[in-house]
Amino acid sequence: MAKVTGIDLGTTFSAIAILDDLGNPEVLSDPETNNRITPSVVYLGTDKVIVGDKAKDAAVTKPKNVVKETKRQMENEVVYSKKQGEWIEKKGKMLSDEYTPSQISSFILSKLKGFSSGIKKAVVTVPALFAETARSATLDAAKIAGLEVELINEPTAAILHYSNLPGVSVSGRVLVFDLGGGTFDVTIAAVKGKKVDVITSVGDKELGGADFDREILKIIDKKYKKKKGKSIDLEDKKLAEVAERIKKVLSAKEEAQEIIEGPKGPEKVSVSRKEFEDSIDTYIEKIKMLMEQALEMAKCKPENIAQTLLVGGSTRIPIVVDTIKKIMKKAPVKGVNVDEAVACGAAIYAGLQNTSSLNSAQKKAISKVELNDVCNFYMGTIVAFDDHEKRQTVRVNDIIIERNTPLPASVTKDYQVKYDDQPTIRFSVTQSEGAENDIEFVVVIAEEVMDLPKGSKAGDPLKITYSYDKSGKMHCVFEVCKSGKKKELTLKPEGSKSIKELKESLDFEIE
Amino acid sequence: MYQEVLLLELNWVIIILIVIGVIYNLVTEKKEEEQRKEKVNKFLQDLKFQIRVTEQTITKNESDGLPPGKYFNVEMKGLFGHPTESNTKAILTITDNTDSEKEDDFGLMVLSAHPFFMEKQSRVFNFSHVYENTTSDTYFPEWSRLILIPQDILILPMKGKRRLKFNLTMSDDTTEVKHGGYDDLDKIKGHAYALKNFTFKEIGYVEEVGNKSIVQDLTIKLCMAMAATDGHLDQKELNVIKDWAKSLSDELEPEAAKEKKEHFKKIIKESYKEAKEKKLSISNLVKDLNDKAGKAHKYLAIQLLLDVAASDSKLAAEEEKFINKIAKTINIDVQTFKGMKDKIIANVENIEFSERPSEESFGLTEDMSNEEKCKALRKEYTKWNGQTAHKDPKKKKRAKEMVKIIADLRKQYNC
Repeated sequence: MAKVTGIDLGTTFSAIAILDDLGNPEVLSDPETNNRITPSVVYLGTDKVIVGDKAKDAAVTKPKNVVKETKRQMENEVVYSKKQGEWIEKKGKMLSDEYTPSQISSFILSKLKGFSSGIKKAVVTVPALFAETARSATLDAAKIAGLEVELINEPTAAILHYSNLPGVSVSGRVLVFDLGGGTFDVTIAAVKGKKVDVITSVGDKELGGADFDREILKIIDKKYKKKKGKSIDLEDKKLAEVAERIKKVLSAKEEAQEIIEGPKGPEKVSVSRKEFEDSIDTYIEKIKMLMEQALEMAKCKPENIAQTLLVGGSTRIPIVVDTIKKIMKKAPVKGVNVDEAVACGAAIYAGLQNTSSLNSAQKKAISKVELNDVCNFYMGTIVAFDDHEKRQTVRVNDIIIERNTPLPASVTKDYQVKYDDQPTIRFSVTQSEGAENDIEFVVVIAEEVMDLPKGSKAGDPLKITYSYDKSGKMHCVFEVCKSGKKKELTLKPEGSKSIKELKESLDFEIE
Repeated sequence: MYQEVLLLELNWVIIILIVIGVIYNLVTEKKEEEQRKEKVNKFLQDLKFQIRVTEQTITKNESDGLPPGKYFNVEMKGLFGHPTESNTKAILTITDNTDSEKEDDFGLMVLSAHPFFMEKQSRVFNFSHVYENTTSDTYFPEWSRLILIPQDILILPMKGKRRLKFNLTMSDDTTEVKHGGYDDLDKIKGHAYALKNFTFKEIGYVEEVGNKSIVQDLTIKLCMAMAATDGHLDQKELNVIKDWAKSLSDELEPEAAKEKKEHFKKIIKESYKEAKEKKLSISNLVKDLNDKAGKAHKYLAIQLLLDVAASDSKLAAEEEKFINKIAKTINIDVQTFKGMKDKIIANVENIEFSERPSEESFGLTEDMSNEEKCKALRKEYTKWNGQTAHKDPKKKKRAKEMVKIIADLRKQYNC
């Protein structure tokens, strides 16, 4: 029987979990190293690809061949150039030593898939606010790795895991604080037993441990330069490891010391916790803003939150916990494995999605689990509008489905033809994080041009219906009422390219 | 004899009394008749279809969803006068009758800035409401509100003290209005109007047409003056101005377009020279623009200034300051201006804020408490954070910078 699998494809670490025979999530460890979490680092050899700890080691000797933080590139039109050792803008045909973010991610997925036999289907987690393009690229990565995949938002997965932990009984609102290596999400959900209703998710796609490491590097650089008169290479992957080590030490101690191998020889550099905390204060401010935003969107005060749940490795940093305490006015919950919660939740969700592949014990274990998610964006359309202040006709975004609307949802809005004898009408589907009217600040994810019947008059009715189902699929219907003509579009995050296109020149042994 | 006389006198008295009685009766009857007539008249008067317009100020506290400000409260009363048992459409139009000789002259049309109060195919003011299943005796016994009209959406032909005529017509519900006229006068069943004085503070649309050319020239000169603030005139900046001038002349008939092109060429050349020699008086230019341009053009001018400023992919501190000042002087809406500027900021590669990241750029004002500022900045953060996923790498970079500036700015307010 196919294994019910969940994968946390993280910026810095990844993990894979399956539902065991009793229906409990179980994290699989790397059979070689026995590690339960695998660094999301890929070494690109000539005929071999290495993923994980060994790849990380290779960063020292062959830095250009080692790719890190690929997740941050998922939404971009870029390729990793082995020759240049960095991400570059994708132009025209790809060279043989260039790789797309989807291809690199596929190596990580393949590696995790190899931890056990019989893994064909999986649920892969993504940040709540991952853009459509990034979701699509993640699905492409799964395709290349030979996995049939569905996506779930990371904080949603974490809360699913939490509410299913033996001995945990939550009733009330839970705030999930998910600060990982690269992304930060805050989700508020109403939990009653094993029933989870997501209320809102907010996040920042570029806020995590990797950013903190970079700030530490800057401190090291300053100190090294002062002593030796020359800057260190901030892109040096080996030094990045040192910075990460310092960060980890500072979570437990007030000061950390390391020997820095700089351009002018080794130098002992120490960094204090205070220095580190001052260096990341802009990030902390962002964290505060997002927490406030989540509370506001959920229309609740900190005292209405029953529990705050920590997920992600960066929640080990003392100032992060202090910030949470300050805002929430109480300490967050301990006892959940911050590195594994997301993968475990994904495995439970995989069980919900594939009840036919479950045994009776597994079925029973998850029988009471229920998950209701919300729409994470404002979905709208672009309309012509007579701006009363500007005295001009301007194109603005008109919101149809509000953010945080519980799914499934269906909304119909009426519009009108603007001009007499207008020949066609352009319908668009827009997406935005904020309630934006300005078209500059929304993303057009689909467009459809329709003919209008001859002799159309200004004011003739038009209708737009958006229906969002639980799996994140959106169905759009555009209707020209006079002619009765309808056009339907189904928007579903799905891999954009054919497997042939994706796999081109990818024939590696993955280790 | 004495008795006879007495009898005679008594007869007279009786006769006189009778006469008096008759007269009295006649008089009182007449009075009652008059009273009755008056009553009927009043009743008829009450039934007559009437319109009343009063001014009403809505404050923030009582707004009930309506934006606070000054409104015209349009009320009506009386008999609909619709002969059949079908729907009746109440149609309200407004004309400016300041310069009309007679009260019932047609007057100049008043336009609307808000789509809700526009005719279907033009900007002419119009408001209609359909009353269903009305009969010949349907009527409003008391004054009833038809609509509240925000005064700031009205666009008059001329600036200053004007006399408005509110025309209310009851008609068949199929009646269409175009440019203030009805498609079929036979469908009109009742009509009433009310006059009201109103001071229009903006430039009227008739004046706007008259000032068009002057205002265009002023706009070009202002842009030149701004482009020169950093000491030199960039070709890119000049191109934006030229393109704008070209788009204006292209709208005209070939003959007029040619003439206009020549004119703009001259203006651009002249102002280029003046700008270089720093001879353009910015304060005079702004004052003229404020006096002569209508709202629509003021926004067009600000847009062009922003486009010129951003033409070199850089919004310089000097330029930003310059435009902020003009926007303030010509009194355009702060939020709308901010929206226009955000759009420019999202698209330029480099940005320098005047002195430190200006609070103004994020909609912060001095009268806000720290708490309000924190909240406003959070809103800005959401806006720019959403933009950090933009496909265009330039826009993405800009958005990331903005997010950092916002987070840094917020630290100052102990949020």
